[in-house]
Order: sequence, then C-alpha cells, then structure tokens
Amino acid sequence: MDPLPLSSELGATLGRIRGLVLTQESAQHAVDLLAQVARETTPSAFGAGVSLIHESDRVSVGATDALVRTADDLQYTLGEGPCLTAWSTRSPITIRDTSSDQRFPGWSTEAAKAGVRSCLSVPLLRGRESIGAMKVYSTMPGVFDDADRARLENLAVAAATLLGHVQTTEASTRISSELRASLRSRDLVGVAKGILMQREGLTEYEAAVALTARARATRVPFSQLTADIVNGQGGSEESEAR
Amino acid sequence: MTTFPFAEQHRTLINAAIVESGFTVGEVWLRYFSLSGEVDEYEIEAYLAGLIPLPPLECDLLALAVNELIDDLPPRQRAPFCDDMIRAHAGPADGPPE
Repeated sequence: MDPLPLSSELGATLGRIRGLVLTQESAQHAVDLLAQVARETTPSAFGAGVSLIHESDRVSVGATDALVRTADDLQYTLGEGPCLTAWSTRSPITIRDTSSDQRFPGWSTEAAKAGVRSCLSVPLLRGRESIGAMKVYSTMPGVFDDADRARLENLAVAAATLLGHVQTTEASTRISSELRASLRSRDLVGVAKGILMQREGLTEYEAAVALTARARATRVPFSQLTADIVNGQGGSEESEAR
Repeated sequence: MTTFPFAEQHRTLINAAIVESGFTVGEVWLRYFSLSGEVDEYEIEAYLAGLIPLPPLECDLLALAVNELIDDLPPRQRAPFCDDMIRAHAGPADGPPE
C-alpha cells in the first residue's frame, strides 16, 4: 500500500495559508502606495498617511515618512486625534494650527512638539462602514484649503473602494478557523479509515471507498459518519447486516 | 491516460451541480478537503474545466462534497395539504380526533 501522500495534503493547506499571508502583504503595499499618492496630490503637504482602522485599532498603516508615523502613533497612544475622529464621525477634520486648536489638546500639544503644525484628515468610507482614514500633515500652520480637502476626499473614495477589497483581519480569522475545522474533520476521516482497515482487513483505498459508499447509501453527513466510527458507535458492515 | 467509463459525462454533471447551486470552487474544495480529498484546489478547478482527469475515488469524494453542501442549503418551502391546515388551526392542546 502507498504511504499517505502527505506532501499533497500539506501543499493544499499551505496554498490556502499562503493566500492569506499575501493578502496581508498586499494590504500593507496598498496603504503605502496610497499614502504616497495622497502626498503627491497635495502640494502643500509635508507627508501623508493611510490607516485601516477596525474597532478603534489600527490594522494597517502606511506613511510617507517618520514624522507622519510619529503623529499617527500619538493618536493611538493618547486615544484621541484627527484621524480617529474622522474615522468615528465619518467626516473630514481640518486642524489649521496644532499650537492653538483645542479639540484634541493632548494630541495637538504632542504633535506640535514633534513638528506637525497642521493636518487634514478624511474618512475612508465603504458603504455605511468606516474602514479608516487618510491624512496629510504639514510643518507649517494653515496650509490646507478647501481645494485640498475636496481633492483628498475624492482620492479617499477611490482608496476606500480598493482597500475594501483587501481582506481584513476579520475575514482571515474566519477563513483560518474554517481551515482548522476542515483539518479536524479530515483527521477524523483518517482515524475512521484506520479503524475500518483494522476491523475489516481493508486497504486504505478500500476503506475510503467503503466510507464513501456508506455516506452515499445512508445520506448521513460524512463528518458524522466518521465521528460515529471513531466514537465506537459506527457498526461494521457485518453488524449492520445482522 | 486511463479513465473510467463515462468520466467525461460524470465531470460535466458534477460541474453542472456546482454551477446550479451557486457554490464557488473554493467552497467545494474546502468541503472536499475535509472529507479527505487529496487533490488541491487548482487541480479541482482544472478537472471541472475538463483539463485533467481525476481518479474515480476523488471524483466521488468531490460529488459527495457537492451533495453535502447542497443538503446543507435551507430547504425550499413546501405546500401544505387540507388536513395540515385543519390541524394547524385546531390548536396545540387538542386530544386525538374521533
């Protein structure tokens, strides 16, 4: 009898997992690229960033430079800031001068210290869902006007459409739990095959054929059939014939 | 390559069942994989497109996977008979009918 073709099984599983890793990578690549585009379309911006936010946590973040990253990180350590508010209220936030704006006192003070003087942040909306925020920063106060805001909002529409198609962590958790269930079920089939081989003197192939035939004749779901055999409740062919 | 009798027609009918039920190849493959199917998703896709043959057992596991997915779908609404209506309106606390 042939040994179990393990490589084929692992190959199939790894194919699935590799797909998940790729989608995480492509999310990161997408937010990095979009941050660059946001800076290039806003001439007065010093830097730009894009964050994907899920339940007040950043899932992915793209930034054009370290200052953007610092200003962004501050929002999540302080729990306040223009991007979090743009995301949660689903409306754009403009801060003309961090040294005088009073809406996010903690963040404004720290951002001003780091060198960020003005900021424009728009939400990434996909249908009714807010999936993150796109923002531009400047080291000078009051540089962003209504035209910048309108342009960034337009860009955010396209960005949200693209990012909405990138799998979020929620989707990958769901897929990997499905995969775990699938592996568990597959494992049970293997054990049930082994029991039939031992009990009825079958080869592995014959055991697989017998199981398939039984599932087909009884219309009992395969997973239940194998679970019954493994739990000692599945009758052998002989005892069923009696 | 050796194939078993009616393999081509078998493949067409499996594929038709998948298309009609609206499942994706990915969904079918995951179920087939959990039933101990040995072939990976791309090969299943190639088989369904008629590009490669599969051994009979793998075809039957695939058919089983498709049928189990179909069995799991919510059943269509059935039409009641006259006495079903009478029974339904008689109320739950009635004794056996005379």
